[in-house]
Amino acid sequence: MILNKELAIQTHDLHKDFGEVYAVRGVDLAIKPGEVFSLLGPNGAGKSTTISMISGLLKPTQGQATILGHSVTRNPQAAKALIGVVPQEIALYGDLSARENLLFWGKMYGLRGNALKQRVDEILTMIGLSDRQKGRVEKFSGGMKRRLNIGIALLHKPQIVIMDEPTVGIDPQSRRQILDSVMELNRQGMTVLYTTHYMEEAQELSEHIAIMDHGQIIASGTHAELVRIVGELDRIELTLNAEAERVLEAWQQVPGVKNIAAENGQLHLLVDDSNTVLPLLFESAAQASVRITSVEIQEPNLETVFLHLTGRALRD
Amino acid sequence: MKKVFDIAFKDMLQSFRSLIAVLFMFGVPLLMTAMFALMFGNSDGEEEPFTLPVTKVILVNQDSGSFGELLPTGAAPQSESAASLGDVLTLTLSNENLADVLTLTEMDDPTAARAAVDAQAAGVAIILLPDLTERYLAADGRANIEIYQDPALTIGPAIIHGIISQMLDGFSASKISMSVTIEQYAQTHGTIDEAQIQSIIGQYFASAGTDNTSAQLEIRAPQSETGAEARSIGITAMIMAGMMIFYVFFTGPSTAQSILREEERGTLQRLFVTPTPTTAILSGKFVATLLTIVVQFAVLLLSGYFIFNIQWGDPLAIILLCASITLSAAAFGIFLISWMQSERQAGFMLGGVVTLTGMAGMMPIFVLGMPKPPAFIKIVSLATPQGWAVDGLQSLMTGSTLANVMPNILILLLWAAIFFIIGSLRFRNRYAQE
Ligand SMILES: Nc1ncnc2c1ncn2[C@@H]1O[C@H](COP(=O)(O)OP(=O)(O)OP(=O)(O)O)[C@@H](O)[C@H]1O
Ligand SMILES: [Mg+2]
Repeated sequence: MILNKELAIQTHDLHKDFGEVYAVRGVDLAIKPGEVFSLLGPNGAGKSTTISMISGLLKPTQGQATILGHSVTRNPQAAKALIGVVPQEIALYGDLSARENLLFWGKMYGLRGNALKQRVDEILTMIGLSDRQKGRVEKFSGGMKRRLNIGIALLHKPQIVIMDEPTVGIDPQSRRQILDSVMELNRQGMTVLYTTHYMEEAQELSEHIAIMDHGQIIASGTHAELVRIVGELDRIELTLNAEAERVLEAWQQVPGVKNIAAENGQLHLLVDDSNTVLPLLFESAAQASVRITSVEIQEPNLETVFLHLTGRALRD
Repeated sequence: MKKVFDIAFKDMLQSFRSLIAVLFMFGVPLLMTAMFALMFGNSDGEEEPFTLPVTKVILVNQDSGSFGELLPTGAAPQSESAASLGDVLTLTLSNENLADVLTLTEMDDPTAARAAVDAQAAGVAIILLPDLTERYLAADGRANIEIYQDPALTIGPAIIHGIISQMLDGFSASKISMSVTIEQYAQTHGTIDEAQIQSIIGQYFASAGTDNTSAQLEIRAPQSETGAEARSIGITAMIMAGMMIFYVFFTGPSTAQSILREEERGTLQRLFVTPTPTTAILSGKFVATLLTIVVQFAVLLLSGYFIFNIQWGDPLAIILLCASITLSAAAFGIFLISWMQSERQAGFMLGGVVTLTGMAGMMPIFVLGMPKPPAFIKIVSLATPQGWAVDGLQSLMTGSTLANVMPNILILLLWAAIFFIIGSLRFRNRYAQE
């Protein structure tokens, strides 16, 4: 690997095996300072495993990772001091108050005394928990816990924040708050590595997106670059009044159909030109005595890209 | 280094905030002690430690022997009126020291005595058979005593049995030295008259008799037999010492368990991604366990002193002994937890290993009432660190010095070192970046 000390995060040929499970299989990332970089992938793609190696929690089976030029394996303390990590699972002390949690984690990042107290106050304001700072965390709502979970990673004003699916399982309002705060942090100059399986989030937050599946990066670039992979293809979403299996085979034969994936009673198709393909699909359905109950034609997006590359839908 | 204490204080804050943890640390041991204190009375050893049932005893002394036979040839007494073993036993049993345990009535007719027991007018009939002294002085030295008891009673007759066998044991020992004394006396003085013999015998039996009977009524640690200024300990103090050790060795693993809890809740992984070395994190956990036990010891020792008036013994020795117990209990925690994969598993282990070893260690306390506890009890107990801890406390309470408990301290430190080395190596490997 050519070490680039300018890069906020750099990985080369990163691998992680858990026995027979090859969770990560050769990941190369180059994340520039000041950007929000999204790692987009379905469940089990290997996002968390990749992040755990970058943050020094897991030792790579092969390959290496650096934070601003500091190797996470050879110089872990220096590398760790530069990053704030927001774990996917909420990791807080439920029997301590929000404030006690922040004070403790601040000390773990080397903050002490007045500087610590001041920073804790700032974070409490930032995550909107000043009023509830004395409350025990176990009594908090899911959204409040998520916000505190993020706040802890920001205590030491890290140059780089790594967030692992920070919006999973919360209400739309809290989610909006979190996305806004990520953009605000980035405006203040923080580099953000953000993992998600929501393509809308990746699209909204990031200039650069890497799509991950089965432990590998299958595509990466800007949103525009990624969409260009699917070229002029159209994306159609359909629902039927019957089992998808009844038309699936016939539709794969229809000229102009590139890719079909069925999930939750919905069919996702990639086609050359929806104007010519759609009438053929209706005809074929009629022959199989199946009714098409809804049709939607969409602009290509990251979902289309994923479908095109893997033959599967991004969300399951 | 500061982070070690940050982690330790955070852990302690969590422990002391947990009602269950506090209950097991202080509540249960104090409650158990209080229960025993209520049952047996609050004693510091100066007073009577036990309240035993008073047994009605009927004594029939038919002994027709005489100690005259004990005399060396050539110094034979002139008359046959010398005291017999039966007389001495009668005298001893009517000693006022025994008034709390038995009321003595003398009778002449053995049949009437047995009938009185049958009619439940008395608990025990002791019949000293005519050839008692004779048989006792014979080569095999077997005393001939019949003890007839009410089958419905257990404790009372058992105590009487105990007293009599203790006395006879004591006499056997005296018997040898006595004949030596008389012989020496005869040699130095040329002659010896009956009055002198009576006086020698009387002194021996009086001392042997009283010593043994009072020992029977007191709870004594093994050391008390050797030390001249040995103190007896009350049952409450012993229970408190046992409870304290049991729960201190419970606190060790249950505090160290926070490692597993943090792993399951993800906070341990979060700690690992902060710039904090693994050693500091694990040391923090160890220090938390140590300090928690120190607090527990301090609270329990002081409560014991102020609430139950327990005299723990030489303060410096107590501090050093408790420090070594603290180290081994904390290391015991780290060691046990290092073999556990989950908090759930650790829960079962706490119930199993900690209870078993704790009980084994406390066994000498359970058998305190027995006149002759089986030897294996001491052996099993000393196979556990808890056993050495209990033994040390017990010994200090009976007036031993720091030097006396030094072996306990050293062995506890050895346990601590072994537990700590194995436990910490296992944890290091486990968290050496998977
Ligand atoms: N400690 C582990 N032991 C064994 N297998 C593991 C371990 N951690 C992860 N895996 C496996 O590695 C693969 C990648 O998991 P990972 O958690 O990195 O995926 P992810 O992209 O973060 O998924 P999600 O969106 O569900 O969080 C999965 O198949 C998972 O089962
Ligand atoms: Mg994940």
